[in-house]
Amino acid sequence: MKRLLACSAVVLAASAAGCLETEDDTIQFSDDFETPIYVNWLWGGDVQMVTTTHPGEHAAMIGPGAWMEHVLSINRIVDDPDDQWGQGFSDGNWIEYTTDCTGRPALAIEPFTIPPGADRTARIRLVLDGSGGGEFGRRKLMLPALPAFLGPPDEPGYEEYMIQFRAVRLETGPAAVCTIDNLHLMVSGGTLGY
Amino acid sequence: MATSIRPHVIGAALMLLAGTAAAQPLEPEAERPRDPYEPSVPYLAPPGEVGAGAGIDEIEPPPRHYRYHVGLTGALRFTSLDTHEAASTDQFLEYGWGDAHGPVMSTVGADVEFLLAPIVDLGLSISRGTGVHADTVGWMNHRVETTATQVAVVARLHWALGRPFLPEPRIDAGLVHRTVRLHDVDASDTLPYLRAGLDWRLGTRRGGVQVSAGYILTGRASSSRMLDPAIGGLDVGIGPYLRF
Repeated sequence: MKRLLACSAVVLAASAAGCLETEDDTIQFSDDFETPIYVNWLWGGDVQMVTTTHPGEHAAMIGPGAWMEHVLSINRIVDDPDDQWGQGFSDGNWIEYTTDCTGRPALAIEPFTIPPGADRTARIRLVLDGSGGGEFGRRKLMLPALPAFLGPPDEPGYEEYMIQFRAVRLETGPAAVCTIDNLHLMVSGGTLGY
Repeated sequence: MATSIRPHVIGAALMLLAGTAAAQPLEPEAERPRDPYEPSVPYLAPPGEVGAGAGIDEIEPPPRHYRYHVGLTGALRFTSLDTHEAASTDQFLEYGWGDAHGPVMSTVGADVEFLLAPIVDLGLSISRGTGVHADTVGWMNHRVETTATQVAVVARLHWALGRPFLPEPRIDAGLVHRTVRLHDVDASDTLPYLRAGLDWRLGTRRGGVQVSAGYILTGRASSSRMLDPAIGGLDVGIGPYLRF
């Protein structure tokens, strides 16, 4: 099997919105923030649910230095380290969202050690910056290449290994107040495309 | 003698009275109400149209002028042709909607006009249209449903003088109440509204079917952070009319 995409049924109810599709180039995780934030997200600092372009349109406003985090269950089987783009890879891996913040965002993949001792598990971390209050716009950011801690096992002779994306974390800079809505996460195939 | 003559005198008097009554002309007919636009002198056709010596009864009477016009209209409004449509669609797409476009709004309306004002027919129109401006966010099948209710003053140039089949320019100026429904929540605003177009009456002077086409301009939302779906554009409608 070249790639495996599966939707875990044993994730927390909080991760119900983060489901894995069976095809590449489809949205792996989506949240329109119409459900109260405390139902699906963990957070710290000043995080509020606000209305945006319409009284029925809700979004998350993240205050200075605040964060919010959502559980993911995106698993990838990598079986051919020589084909880093993977067969069938076509459209890359990215995160896209709507925001009124005009600053330069940062996107990273970092180790995520829940549960303790888990191997090749990662968290996607998006840091928003700048000042809000302007018109809302769509932002799309490509995910970086797989970091070393998600690389192949050291032992020779392996056939395949699995990497796991277990959480997505949104943060703001120390002086930023950003509103975010319609968050989508796309994950395609290959070791560069995951 | 006198006693024998009296019945004859009475009989003759009664016959005389009856004969006199029968000879008197009947009461003149009550005059029917005259149309103020009906000429007070008999209509005379131009020379050559009617033969010499033709009587008044052979001349076609002038057309009757009706006072009011009532019309119903079912219309389609092509909001993709609104000058504001591109900005409206961009706003939805920039917010993450998967499908956004200027929809064809289905509209129903009614209008009534007073026909005897100088130069133009003056009246009121009311109409209401609905459409879906955007749907689908990610996996979610949400929709942005827009309703526009217009109330306007109508002025229609009556150069056709009541004759059908001649297009008559028409302007509607008023207000539009726009309601945007999203996630089962309504938000409304009121904007200026202007429609300029033509009416064609396909039928008789009394009634028939009216075809209309026009272009609609509306105001914009007061804030660029608020949803501002386009509700103007080309409007094409058809419906019955009656004049009385």
